[in-house]
Amino acid sequence: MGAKKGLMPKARTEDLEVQELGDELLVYDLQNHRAHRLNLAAALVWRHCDGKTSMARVAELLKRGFGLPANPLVLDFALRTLSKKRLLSEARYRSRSKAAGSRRELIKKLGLLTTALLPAVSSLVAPPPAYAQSCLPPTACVAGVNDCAPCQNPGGNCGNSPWRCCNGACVPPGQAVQCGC
Amino acid sequence: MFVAMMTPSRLFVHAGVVGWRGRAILFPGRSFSGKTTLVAAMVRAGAVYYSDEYAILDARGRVHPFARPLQVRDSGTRSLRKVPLESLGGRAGQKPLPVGLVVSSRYEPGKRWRPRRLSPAQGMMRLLANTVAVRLRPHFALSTLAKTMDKVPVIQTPRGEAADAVRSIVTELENRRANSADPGM
Repeated sequence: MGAKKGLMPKARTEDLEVQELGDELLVYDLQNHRAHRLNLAAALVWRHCDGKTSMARVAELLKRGFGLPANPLVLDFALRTLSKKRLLSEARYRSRSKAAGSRRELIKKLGLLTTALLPAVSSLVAPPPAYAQSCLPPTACVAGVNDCAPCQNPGGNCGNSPWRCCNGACVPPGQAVQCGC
Repeated sequence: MFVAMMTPSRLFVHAGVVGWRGRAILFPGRSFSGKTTLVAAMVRAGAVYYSDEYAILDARGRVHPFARPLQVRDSGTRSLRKVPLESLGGRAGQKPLPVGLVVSSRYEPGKRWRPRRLSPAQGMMRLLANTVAVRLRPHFALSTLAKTMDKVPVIQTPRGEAADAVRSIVTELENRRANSADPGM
């Protein structure tokens, strides 16, 4: 069900971990393991996504708080961004104005000199454990893959497994790429 | 890494760590970002060695020592060799420390040190990108990182040679200390 005309849509609440950091927000999506950083303006918009607050009120807050033009395009841009990141309860936010497509187009349309205060959401995919680790030393011991012996064929496969020989040790394929092997 | 993933009361962040006047300095980063080189240079400059691989954080946001021998990469072969701390004239930390500074940098030959202060959320994203068990324990990871990062400055900068970076970091820390009422900093 879509939001009522003129009212803010509802924020998604399920499967999210939210951490407040000053006026910014860090939102972790448990469904796809993505972390989103909402800057001040984006956090303000998301906090008001309650299905009750009027869009005009939020546009006014953006103007007062950040000196952004009282133009519906700014709020529309923020809501589209939040929707793309799956942070709204509606599957897809439907734009109500003739939207400016990209951030660059918005800046051009509004004649802004700086982009710093515009609502922004930056994201990252949380690393699988193997990516948050240095390349293994030659003493790495993986039973059944290298039988605890250093491998001798740099870049080659370890036996019949997809693991590859990297720095003298057998490592998972993803880590081999990360380690430049 | 199994230990890093399964230790319930600790959060492992891929980062180099040294102690400086009772505070920890974190250098988060992936492989080949130059963490160990920077840690070794800091130790040579008088910092206390905590780790060249993991910042081990407790629920209060303090960093615990993980002082294994430094693993230095040979530039030609990219293979790792162990360097004992004693050969650097350093000493290993024993006690957990609160974090005083996070430096997000990557070695780029010829680059100058040009620090830019990040917002707390930007800083947390840098640590999150290097946190081992974030997928397994996101709630613990977020709350621990938030405690760790409370009022802690995070800077991002390219860096050239480690010795130049160390001079800049030490100057930054001493300036911060001079302007702070906190004797620990």
